[in-house]
Amino acid sequence: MFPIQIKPDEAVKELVEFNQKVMRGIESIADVREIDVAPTPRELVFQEDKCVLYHYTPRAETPCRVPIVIVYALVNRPYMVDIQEGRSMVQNLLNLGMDVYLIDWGYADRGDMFLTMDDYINGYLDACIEVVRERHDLDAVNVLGICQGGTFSLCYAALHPEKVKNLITMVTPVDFDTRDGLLNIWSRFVDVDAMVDALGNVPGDFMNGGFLMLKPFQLMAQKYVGFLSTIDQEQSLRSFLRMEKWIFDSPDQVGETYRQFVKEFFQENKLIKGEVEIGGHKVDLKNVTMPVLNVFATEDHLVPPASSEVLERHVGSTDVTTISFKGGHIGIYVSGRAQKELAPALAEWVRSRSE
Amino acid sequence: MSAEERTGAPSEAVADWVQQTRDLTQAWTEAQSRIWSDWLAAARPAADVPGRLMSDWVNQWQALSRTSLAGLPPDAPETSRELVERLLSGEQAFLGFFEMTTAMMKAVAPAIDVGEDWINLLRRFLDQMKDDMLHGRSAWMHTEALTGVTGEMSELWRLYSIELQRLYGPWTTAYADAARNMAEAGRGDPTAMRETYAGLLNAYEVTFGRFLSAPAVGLTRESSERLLRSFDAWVDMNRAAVDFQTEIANEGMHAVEALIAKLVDMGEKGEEITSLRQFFDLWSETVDSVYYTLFGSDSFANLQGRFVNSAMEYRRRQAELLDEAMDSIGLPGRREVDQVHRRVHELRREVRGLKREISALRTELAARETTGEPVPATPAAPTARRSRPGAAASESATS
Repeated sequence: MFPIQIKPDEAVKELVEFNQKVMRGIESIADVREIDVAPTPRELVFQEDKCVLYHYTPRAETPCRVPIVIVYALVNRPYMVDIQEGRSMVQNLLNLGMDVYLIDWGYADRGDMFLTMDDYINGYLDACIEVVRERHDLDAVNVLGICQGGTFSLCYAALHPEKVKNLITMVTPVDFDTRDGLLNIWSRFVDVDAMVDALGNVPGDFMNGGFLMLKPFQLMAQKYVGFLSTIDQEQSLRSFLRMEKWIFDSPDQVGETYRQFVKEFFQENKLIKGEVEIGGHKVDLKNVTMPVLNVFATEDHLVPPASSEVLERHVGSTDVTTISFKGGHIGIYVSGRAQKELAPALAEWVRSRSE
Repeated sequence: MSAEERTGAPSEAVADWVQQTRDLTQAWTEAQSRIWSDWLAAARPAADVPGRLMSDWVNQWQALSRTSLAGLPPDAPETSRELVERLLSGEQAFLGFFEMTTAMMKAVAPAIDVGEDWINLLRRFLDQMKDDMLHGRSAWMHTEALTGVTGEMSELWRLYSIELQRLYGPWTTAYADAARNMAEAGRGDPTAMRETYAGLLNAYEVTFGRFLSAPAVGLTRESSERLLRSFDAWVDMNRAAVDFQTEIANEGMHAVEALIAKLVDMGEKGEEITSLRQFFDLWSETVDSVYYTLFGSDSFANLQGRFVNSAMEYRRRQAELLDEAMDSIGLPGRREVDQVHRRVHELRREVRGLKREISALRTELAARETTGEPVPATPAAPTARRSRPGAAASESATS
């Protein structure tokens, strides 16, 4: 049997309705004057160059004694963890009695192109951790690293284990020598020296182009066709706009850091070999002796599970918990299930190790 | 439909586009209901009429939609503006898909009706589509035409001179003409570019042509070599681009085969596709799945790497030429400004380190004063855990 049983009159009707939805959709979009993100109250407590440290207003009368410092990636912006009311990992953690800080790396410009991983990890990140330690009179604080920020946090914990009470890594690449991820495969054939020498900083749009190529039709056409079915609902429209804002809000990647990250991590997989050197010191994951909670997403097409889940085998800690979350790289922060399941598990793990 | 027709231009007659749209929709729908009682009717000899009607209608829709972009309020967030653009691209994809489906059904339905094997029919139709995509006048990457145009060194030089205009700017009119001609050539007319290069060629001859004709010795030798290296990089980049894009196009063909396989499977299971949206989703997912497999192969990653690397090399060579030009008129170029950035960065690092050291020493000093311990004449290197007492926003001014 010929499976395409589309009747012409129904196809025409469908097309007319589709175009009417587009028109209505554009009208609805025109009514939106502001796309609000990062709704949770916070205070700027430290700034060095473009790096900013925020402290969220605690919601518990007596929050957890040891605060959590969230370290986001240089790719995209950190408000993904606080994208909107009801879909905010930060809010969930605050509601569960956590005390939360967030590092925002800012938007790099050409003047930042010579910043290295040493500047980020031993410079900005360490400065932020020092501020939090000082404010809370603590020897060590909890560090939560996300994606590339997780890799930075791992390096930091290996270089400064005495300052990290507990380490949480989310969707964090650890073993870069995997065939599961397209980014891992593509990066092997890119002459990163030529790229950085030619571009200085690597444009955010270039990075986005690569991400969109992972699923070109679905991400560039089908998604928007599908979006029209919910465009009449204001909340859905606003949520979609927030996600669009985040997806395409891509800072340029600092040249020297990009060079080092692609070359030593993606191409040479030096992290798990103990060969990465930052600030003149070898990064030895066996120095990561504090409790570790590693969360990876089973459907992650950017950081494949195979790259994350091996962390347990490489760190020196004897207290490693691994959580496999059924979802994708973004769903792990914003999906309904993540709100219900992940934040409580994370808070419970931290609380039991922070007294 | 040609690329120009597909793009369309906003209708000047649209005073109230919503009303116009409604009228247009109604008129077209009525036309459909009269002529397209079913696909068989559409396949009759007179069926080119609705085909044209549909094309016109699709163009009108797109033109009307695009006028709405200009109608967005000036204070609309940038994300809204970008979303509308992406939405319109999605719409274009869907309309294009509708056109393809319509053409396919018109080609296939009559034959199925008389009992022909639909799988072979569908394959023939999609093969024809593949052929059009690769070799027709609407081919987006017409490799033969490109080879024809770029086959000779002299033509390559002329093409390259266009690129150089981007760097040196003053021949903007000539460049605009050349860009238009390149588009014509890209649509399959290899003579278009040759015929209309006179202006550029003239500009080229009086500048770079003369420059290059000088022997590659003495004062101009290094400049000539730089220019030649840049030319080589440009040729490499274009070769890599053609290989890369051809591979993508070829894989599009595999996607078509994968779609047929899925349809056969559905047919065997008795499953039906009853809406455009269902068919569109199946197509999107099939294409992405095929591309995902391709993108995960070393051979593709190698091609992509060659394309990206050659583009970066060309950009670097361009920057060299531009630096030289800027230097010749006494202005700083990228190289010089980046040197300044590097020095500022090194100073910032040094200042940050010194501030930390001072902070650590102060802490140590305060601790010794508290305990009454004698203060050494030369402070020891900082080892204290707390290296940044009271670090706060006020301590941030290293930039």
